[in-house]
Amino acid sequence: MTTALLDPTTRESLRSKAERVEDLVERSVDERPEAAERLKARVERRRGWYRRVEDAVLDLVNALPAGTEDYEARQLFLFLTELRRAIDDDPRAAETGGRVQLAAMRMADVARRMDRRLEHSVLENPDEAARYVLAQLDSVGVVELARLLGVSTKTVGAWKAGKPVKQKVERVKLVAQLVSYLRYSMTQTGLLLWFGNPADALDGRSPLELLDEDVRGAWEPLVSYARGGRGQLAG
Amino acid sequence: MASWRAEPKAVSGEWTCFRQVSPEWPPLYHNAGVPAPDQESGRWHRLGEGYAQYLALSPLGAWAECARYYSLRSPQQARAMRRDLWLVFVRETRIADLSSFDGYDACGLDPAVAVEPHALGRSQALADELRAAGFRGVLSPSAALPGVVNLTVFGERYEKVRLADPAAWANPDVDAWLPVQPVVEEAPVPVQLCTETVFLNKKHETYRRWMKAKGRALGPGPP
Repeated sequence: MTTALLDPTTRESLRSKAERVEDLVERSVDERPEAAERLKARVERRRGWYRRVEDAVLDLVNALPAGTEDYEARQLFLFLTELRRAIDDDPRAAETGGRVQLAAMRMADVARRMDRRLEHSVLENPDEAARYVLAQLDSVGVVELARLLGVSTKTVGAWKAGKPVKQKVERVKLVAQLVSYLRYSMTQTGLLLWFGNPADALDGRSPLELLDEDVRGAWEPLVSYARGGRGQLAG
Repeated sequence: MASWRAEPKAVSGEWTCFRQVSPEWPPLYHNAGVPAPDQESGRWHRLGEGYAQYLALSPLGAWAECARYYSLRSPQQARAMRRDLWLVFVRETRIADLSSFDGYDACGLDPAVAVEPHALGRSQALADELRAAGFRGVLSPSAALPGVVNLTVFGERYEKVRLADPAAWANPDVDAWLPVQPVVEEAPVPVQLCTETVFLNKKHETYRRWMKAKGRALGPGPP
């Protein structure tokens, strides 16, 4: 999905459409069906839900710059087809095999991925990236922010005032990406500590050390380290 | 040819497990439709080669994995973490029972594989062999917290969130689903793990005691 060149309005509109798909497919299972619900009503309710999912997918795909040529759009259609077949094979809407919900959850994976990619694409713009970092770390002092971004406190002040980012562009973009991966897993203090903490995963070096040494070279190990925090990795 | 002298014992059973994740993500690892599997490398799988669901048989075991991953050595760091802890109920067959160092030894496998850094690759190679032999997961001592056993289920799974008894749920497809239950949301890591966790440069005392009891020589560094 080529999203870097999208204007902010289109991007936000696409994110909203992707979230709509995600939201709808996550409502695939009625955990507490009314015992008295008749078969016809149950089947009709599910048919209505499927139509809303289908409409939301078409709405999203039509809005994508590449339309149906988009890789993720094709994945959505693939799982939408899987969903329709699962529904067709379950005329009593009993969902005993779990196939309807599984297809829906697979669609949710794709929609979530599209949403995240759109969110991340904003951070390819250095001005947006700086704004993002400053917003996510709004309780952090200017001295710490300057250390993190590798600039003077004066420059941080200028960026806070909306001046364009003309130095440390790559570092600002990388820090923004890392913050976006980590921000749910730790507090703002935790984020700062993460950057300064010597990590075994980085051979005892801290992310800040890697950033100071070579931003381009730091990209892969730091993104991998941050992404790896999604969930438990050793058993 | 597999590296073991005798195939690990295959066990079937039920296990109540724990797993901690970032609050923005689902409790289990899945990502349908990606061009290549995108789960970062772990002890029992490599990035790009499939998925594994990493679980601990105790809550502290799950938290210790977090402390080890992020090198959380100070209480301030531990308190600044925000992670969701999930209970995962596993009912499985053909799990390789390597839950003790004796278990490794009985198969002719080096018990250090259980606790050495997974970046060395030996545990991932063993996982390849286990999968090829039809095992669906592995029980193994925790490298992060001595005395704890972990269960890793091979492959992608989707979560079925159950607020009531997860064990009571009739799983329609064990290749696709695992029942889970939220335990705590956006919680910090217990601070005692800053000292109890076996970090990469720390020695695994349970392993070392086992080696000593067997009269075997220990290497100069960890494990």
